[in-house]
Amino acid sequence: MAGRGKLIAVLGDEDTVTGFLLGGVGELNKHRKPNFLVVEKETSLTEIEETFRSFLSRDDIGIVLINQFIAELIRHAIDAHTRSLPAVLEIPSKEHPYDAAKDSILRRAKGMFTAEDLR
Amino acid sequence: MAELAALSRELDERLLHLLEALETLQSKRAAFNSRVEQGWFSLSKSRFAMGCKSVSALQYGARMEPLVRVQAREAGSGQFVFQVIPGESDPVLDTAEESPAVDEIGPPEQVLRRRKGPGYMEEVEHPLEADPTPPHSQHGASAQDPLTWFGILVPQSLRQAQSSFREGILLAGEIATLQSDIEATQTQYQALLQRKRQLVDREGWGCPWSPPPPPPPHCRGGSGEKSWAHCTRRHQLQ
Repeated sequence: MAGRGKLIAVLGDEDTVTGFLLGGVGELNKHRKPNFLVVEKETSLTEIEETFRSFLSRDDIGIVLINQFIAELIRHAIDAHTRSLPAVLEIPSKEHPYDAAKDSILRRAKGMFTAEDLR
Repeated sequence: MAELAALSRELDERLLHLLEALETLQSKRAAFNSRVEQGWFSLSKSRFAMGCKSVSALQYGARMEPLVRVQAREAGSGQFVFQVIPGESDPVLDTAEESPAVDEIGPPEQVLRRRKGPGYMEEVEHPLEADPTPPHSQHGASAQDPLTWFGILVPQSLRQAQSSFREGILLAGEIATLQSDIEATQTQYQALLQRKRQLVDREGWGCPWSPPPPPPPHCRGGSGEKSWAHCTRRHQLQ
């Protein structure tokens, strides 16, 4: 698997997932398990979180793309993920533009400079 | 003192590297967002051309194989480099792109067309003998292309959407690399800062960024060697 490269997983609204699948990231493995989740109004928070955690635990996934508004819903799970692999990328959605202030990576970078450090 | 100067220099270098990486990340993010937005716009145009329900999750293929993958290799000190590479079936896709099968309408040979009339049986039997392979295996290459999920004749806007999202995927790899670099640099910076603090506390040099100030009279003597940080904290509390 490592020799072939890892997958890019997508967790997002219909247009985001459709776009990235058009780009060729989609996979249905032999157990018919997809590497994407279309989040709709009916999709429960538990399902989103479980899917996200399952993506993190899969060793064949290298990057997880997630809409930022969905990331906001499961922020605790995203903040708890501190490993470099898989990388979690927060991306904009059609209705919610990207806000750098909410991005977990940038928030961590911002938080490294405390008042005491700069004294 | 030389060790402290070297540590300070190293800290400055790490910090500059971090700021550069953050700046690059910001520009890559802007490029990524613009590609994705362009992709959504093209998808919307496709919906306008094909119908509202024609471009949705309902059209996803029953079989999916990734056409792009990402190779993650460790570049030392916990940093990963993500490189987007074509999947195994990508050469096939390239062939499909050169001669787009999605544009072909109907069977390749006109004799396959069913016609009423006296020659009907002969016309049907002849192509079956000549071409025993099923159409799916003949166009196995194009079956991999996600464009085929949305029909045989797809609008140009859908191709544009595909190309925008592909560019976005390439940028996603670069962004992931930058994020990993930022996190690794952050860890290194914190470790160096911790080491410097320990050094400063151990040697009792006081403020690491300035020559040691004379301790206030009430801090002299008594408890002996007090660190600058300890005194500052005490003054803040007062």
